[in-house]
Amino acid sequence: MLTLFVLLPIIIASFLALLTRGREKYTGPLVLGGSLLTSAMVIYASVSSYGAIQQSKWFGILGYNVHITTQLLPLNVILAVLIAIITPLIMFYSMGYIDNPTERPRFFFEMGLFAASMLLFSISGNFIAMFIAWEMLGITSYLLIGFWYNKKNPPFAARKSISTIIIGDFAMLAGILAIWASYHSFSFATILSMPVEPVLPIAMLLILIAAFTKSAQFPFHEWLADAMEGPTPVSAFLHSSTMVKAGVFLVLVLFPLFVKAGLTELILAIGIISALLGASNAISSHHIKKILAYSTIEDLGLMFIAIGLHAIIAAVLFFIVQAFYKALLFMSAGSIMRANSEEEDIYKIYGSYKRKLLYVPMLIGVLSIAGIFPLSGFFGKAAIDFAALSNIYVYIILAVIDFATSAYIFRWLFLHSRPAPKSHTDNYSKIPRSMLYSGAITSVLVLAAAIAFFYISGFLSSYNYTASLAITISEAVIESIIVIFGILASYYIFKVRKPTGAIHTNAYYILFNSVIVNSAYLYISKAFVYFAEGINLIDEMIYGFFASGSNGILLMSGKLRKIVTGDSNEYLIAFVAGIVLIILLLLV
Amino acid sequence: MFPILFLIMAIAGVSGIASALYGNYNTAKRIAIGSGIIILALAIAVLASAFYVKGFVGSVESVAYISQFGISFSLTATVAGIVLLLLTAIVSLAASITISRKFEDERNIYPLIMLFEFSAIGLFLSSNLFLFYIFWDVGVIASYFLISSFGSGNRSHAANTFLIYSIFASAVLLLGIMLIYFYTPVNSFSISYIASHSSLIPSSIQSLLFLLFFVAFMVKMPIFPFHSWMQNAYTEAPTQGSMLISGVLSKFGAYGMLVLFSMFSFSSHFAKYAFVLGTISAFYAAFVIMRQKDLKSITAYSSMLESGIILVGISSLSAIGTAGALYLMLAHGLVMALMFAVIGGIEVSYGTRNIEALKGIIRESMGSAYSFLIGVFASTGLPLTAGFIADVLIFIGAISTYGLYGAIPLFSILLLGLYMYYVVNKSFFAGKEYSNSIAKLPKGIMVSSYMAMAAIFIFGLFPFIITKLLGFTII
Repeated sequence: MLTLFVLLPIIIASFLALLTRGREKYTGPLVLGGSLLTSAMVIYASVSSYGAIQQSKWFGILGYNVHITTQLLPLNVILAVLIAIITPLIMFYSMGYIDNPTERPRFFFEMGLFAASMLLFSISGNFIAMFIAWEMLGITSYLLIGFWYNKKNPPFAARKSISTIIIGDFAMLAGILAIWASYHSFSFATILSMPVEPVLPIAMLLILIAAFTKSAQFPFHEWLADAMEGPTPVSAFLHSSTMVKAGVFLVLVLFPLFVKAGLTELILAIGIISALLGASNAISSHHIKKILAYSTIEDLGLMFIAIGLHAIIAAVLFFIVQAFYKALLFMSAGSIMRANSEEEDIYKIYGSYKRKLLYVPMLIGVLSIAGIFPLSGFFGKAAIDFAALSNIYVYIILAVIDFATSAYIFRWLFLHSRPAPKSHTDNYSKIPRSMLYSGAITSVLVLAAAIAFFYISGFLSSYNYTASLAITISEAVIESIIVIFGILASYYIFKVRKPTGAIHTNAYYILFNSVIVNSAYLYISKAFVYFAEGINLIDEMIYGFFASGSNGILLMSGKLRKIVTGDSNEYLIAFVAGIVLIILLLLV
Repeated sequence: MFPILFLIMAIAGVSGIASALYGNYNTAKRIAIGSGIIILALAIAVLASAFYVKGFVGSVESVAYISQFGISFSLTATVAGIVLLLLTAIVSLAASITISRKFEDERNIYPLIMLFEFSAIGLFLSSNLFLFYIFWDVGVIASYFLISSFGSGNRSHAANTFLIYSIFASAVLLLGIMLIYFYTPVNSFSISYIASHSSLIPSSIQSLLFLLFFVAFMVKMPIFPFHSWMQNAYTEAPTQGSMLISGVLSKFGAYGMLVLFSMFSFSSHFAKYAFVLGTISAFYAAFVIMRQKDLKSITAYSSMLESGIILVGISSLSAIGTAGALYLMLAHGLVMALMFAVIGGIEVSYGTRNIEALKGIIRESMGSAYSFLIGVFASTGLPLTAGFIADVLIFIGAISTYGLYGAIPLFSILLLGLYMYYVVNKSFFAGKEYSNSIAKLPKGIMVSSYMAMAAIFIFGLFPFIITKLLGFTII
């Protein structure tokens, strides 16, 4: 079977969704069905054509052929199956979430295409297929983040995300084409097997910039927090298996090239900075979804740290487990917001314990992200910590991040599970069933994902450049102690002292540094605008230059025209004067 | 062989005269649309024969014209000619379908559109410089009247500026053509003959000759610093005029550049200057765009930006880069047709083109908003639109020739994208407040923008329609 065919059901279902206007109750089930069929086909293809690389010719030019290549190597299978599992869950969640029927066709159309482009990305085997998927991800996420264009903030958030992302798109295109100009191939397999060309470091740097923009790494990380303006299913999808994972996945697939280009130290450094920034903002943010968004920036930073330490298997393990718990946490956040009339400030949200079907799965997610043994998050973090043992500085930073993670996620939990004051009304009983059920199913997956730890090494054994995956008992104990300290700190501050609003100390402004980053963005764009202003002045000058030239000609013509009076006497005088002049000239 | 190229020219000419002489607005419009459809069908037939009939590409259809000077009325179907013929047919048909504000007075716009189409087809198919020059000027005349008679705002100023620049370009071009004929041993007007004998041109005259042609084509593309006519001409022209001028007339210059670089073998000495100029032009336009408020002038400068990119592709001197430049001419022509049609529709619906005044267009006119967004996607070279193929080919060519410097112009498109998304989120997909439409969106504008959109996606999804032709030499 041609692997590309797995995309067909969901793409067809998305386009059909546009036609369901007027019969909106069928839109959700239609796209859910399409995504289930796609998932089944993905799993079938992962078994039947495991390890296959398939080329389909797109077009040929001047003796070169441009292919759309797909591959189902272990890494591709992992991401494709991850998407295949999470997509139907998100679609199921969205069926309850999007309660305005007129919005449904558009929403499910865009979501379906978003899922399809991520799936294409996961199975792509050359730069062309990958770039198509990459750009489609960019624009579908742009449309989804700006989905509620009637509201005040989403258009700005959408613009911010697309502005950041297209920087990466063009960097990547330049990188890809530079690679083609040296290697004359777009195929990953071919490029990986060829000797290093001099262009490689710069080309890979450009591609790395692209990966950083998609995966929201410093200095391109702020769009991800703003992307929370989109509908919650989009956030859940964006942060778990799609979009932000694309950058990490790209670096994983092309890892040998990054090693050859000598960029792993840069990856490590950016990963550390991003993880610290993500953690500090997550501790200090007040927005129920932005806390989770900054937490994703931190998670992605951790993955890049693992990649920078050459601990590929640890990175992949964390890649898998993070997808489940983050999807779960976002689904829960959406449900809580729904019960609190879409309130976003976490200090104004209460009583999430009231609905057990919401609270218990969410608790599993919280314990998993904090890194409590034996939940899946524990294995992911401990594996990365263990890989960092060789470098004590990185290890200390990771310990700080682990402490911060458990502190902020329990802050998150403690704050929105406070008992509500009398004046506050909430309706936890009115959360749509599909939103709760999908969360519950995801929580089972969070529990099950711990199994990945035991099988991942064998699954990835064909990659001979990876360090082995191991966790020692002492390491596990240290990790658990750090996590428990984090929880205790959070308990003390938010459960015992019971703050009712923001704590505006100096530390708060240092931790919540997204304001600084955003104003830096603003200054950069202002610099461009001022420069553009200058260029515009030059443009007017050029216009003026040519205009004054033609005005000069007109002026001359105006002067000359006056000679032509029609007076025959004047003509006669001029005629005689001319003859005299000619005679004089001849004589001289 | 059946003289299909003459037939196309004859249909364009005869229907132009017929629509000028007969009847009222409706008849003229029907004639224009009917002949537009026939020409499009014939253009597709030409494309098909290029695939399936051996020896069709490069074949010459010729009638004696001024035989004393060896000038014949001869048309030839080169690859570039076929591609641009297709573009002309699509854009002209889209322009004939589009209607603008005061349409009842505009009976005479259809003969002008047909005249323009006639001149464009003639120019792209002409096999000698003599005909090239004639059609070049006919195109200028048609555009001049399109702007001066049917434009808006300060249209006579715009038309005059356009005319002054064009006359300058024509004069320079004529001088160049005469120099080749009279002052070199080549002594011919035929493009293919000059191309094969360009080594005979003495080296003392080479730079001058190149400069004359280059400046003439620069004005038309337009390339910095000869672009000042463009903003006024594009903004004051009627919707159809903007579509034709930016979609097709600017391709006169680009096609000329293509001919120039493949005609004179010595032009390779000047390629790097052309590359630098194209890059400067692209970035210059990108920065000028950032302070524009009028949707039409934003689009106008984006057209200048793409012209710079086309020049980059041509100046790469590699077969792939040149092919990419040709592809971008096609893609960009279609994008311009789409953008100006959409903007024309917005102007009819809301009475303004100023992005400060336009708000929340999607609330009342979803079609316009999404069409504009697709136009933005296409002009930033998103995959699956025609622009992507063009960008890939151009920058592969540029990087192979100029190393990583060749990738620099790519980032001018990034700047364009940044501002375009700003515009989209400011005026189209935004806000609680929104502008009230004052008139219904004319159906013709919708149809023509759908047509351009369909073409953009067809050439983006199935690039082999064009790339298959590129096995032949382009000129």
